[in-house]
Amino acid sequence: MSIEERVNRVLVDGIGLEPAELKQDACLKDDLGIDSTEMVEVIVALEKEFGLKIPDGVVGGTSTIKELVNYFTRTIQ
Amino acid sequence: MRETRAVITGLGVVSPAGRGNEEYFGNLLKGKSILREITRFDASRYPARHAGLVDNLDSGGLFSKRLIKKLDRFSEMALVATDDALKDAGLDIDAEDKDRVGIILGNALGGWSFAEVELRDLYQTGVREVSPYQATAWFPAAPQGQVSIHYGIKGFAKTIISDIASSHLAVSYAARAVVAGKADVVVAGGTEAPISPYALLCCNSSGELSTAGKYRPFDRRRDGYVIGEGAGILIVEGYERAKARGAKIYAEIKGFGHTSDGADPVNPDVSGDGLARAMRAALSESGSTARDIDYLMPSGNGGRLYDASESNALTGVFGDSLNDVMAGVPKALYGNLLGASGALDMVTACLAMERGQAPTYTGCNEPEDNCRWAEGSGGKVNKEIGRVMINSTGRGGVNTCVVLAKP
Repeated sequence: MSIEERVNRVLVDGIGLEPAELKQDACLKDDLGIDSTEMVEVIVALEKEFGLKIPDGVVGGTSTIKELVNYFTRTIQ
Repeated sequence: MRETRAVITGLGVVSPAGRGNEEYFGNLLKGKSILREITRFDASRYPARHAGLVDNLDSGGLFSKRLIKKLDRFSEMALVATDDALKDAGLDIDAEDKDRVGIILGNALGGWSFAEVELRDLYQTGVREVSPYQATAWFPAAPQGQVSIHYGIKGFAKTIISDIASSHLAVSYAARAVVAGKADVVVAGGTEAPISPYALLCCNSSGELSTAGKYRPFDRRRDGYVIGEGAGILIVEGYERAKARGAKIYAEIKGFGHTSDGADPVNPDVSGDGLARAMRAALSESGSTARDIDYLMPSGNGGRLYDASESNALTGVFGDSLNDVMAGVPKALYGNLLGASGALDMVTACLAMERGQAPTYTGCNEPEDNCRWAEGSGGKVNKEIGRVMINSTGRGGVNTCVVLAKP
């Protein structure tokens, strides 16, 4: 499964977003409505999926799905 | 125009006896107990392990799975019942001045199905395993919050926590809020989801549950109540406003009495004086006497002391006419829903008045000597019902009484 597919799976299965919402340039806060509480859930779920700790400030409300995918692609390599 | 009368224009119910007015009321009239042993988790080691259960709660179509996973069951049931009540009232909140729409809900225990799983994860694994929704899912005002957010309600809002009397107080204060001009319409009622390992433990340790698994108020064999889960929501608004928009009016909240026993931190005052005062206050405010009551719905908590107290209160207020009044304790069929029990009784009363049929099941087949009036008379009686008196009593001596009147 690609990094993008794994990120999407976390957002759909873990957070409950609809697959149709997962556009690459979708901003977590402004487009997907992920508030500060849900952001905690997103970060913990992504950390579990990829087996790493995301440093504070790297992922936030202004991030897009594409930026998440790029971050994990760089970090895992 | 200043409203002087508060009326009920919509009902929503999620209960062990069914969802929606038709299913719920139809099952009450059948007069068959639907209490059963809890199988949702292993309850075999609990002394009291029967309950009224809501199976197959279908809320997926109404609310997103993204929202539902952030909620405890008691918030989910409140949302479903609210949606039903608003549809029943023919009310679109988006078309209202939302600053004038209020919400007052009752609850006793909070959201333990959600919370205890998170506490388990906290102690077994650690902080990072705890859901970020732990606080907002558990706290007793969560249903009020979630319903407000979902519908954009911005008016007068409260959560009442007063054990079994919670939702009785909630609906009564909703009526007060409307007449005081604090809101034009109020979503009022209660919700409770006590069927989880820890919540069931708390209820067991109260000593108020029936270990026989039988709910037999005023019966000489009674040993407590059986719990249930569910939500009851009533739409309360001003009479003139309801009439102007052509709303169906189920009942007027005509009288309300609220007292405290001030006697014991847990048990009621067995003399029943406090409850009698609440009943007299409700009668007085409604311009009624005891003889005007067509249908009596006692709190019927089923405990040794609770029922003795209520029986004394009823005898004191009704006198000899107590043996003539038609009575029913339909919660003995489906369980005491604690913080939601008063709301469900009011839903029952509204439907009884609308249809001229009263559920007369009491669960009492061998009445105490002074409780002959409570002896079960089957499932239903067809009768014109103009006034209903409903009692609700909570731990520590909270006494409430409401008189509803057909418009």
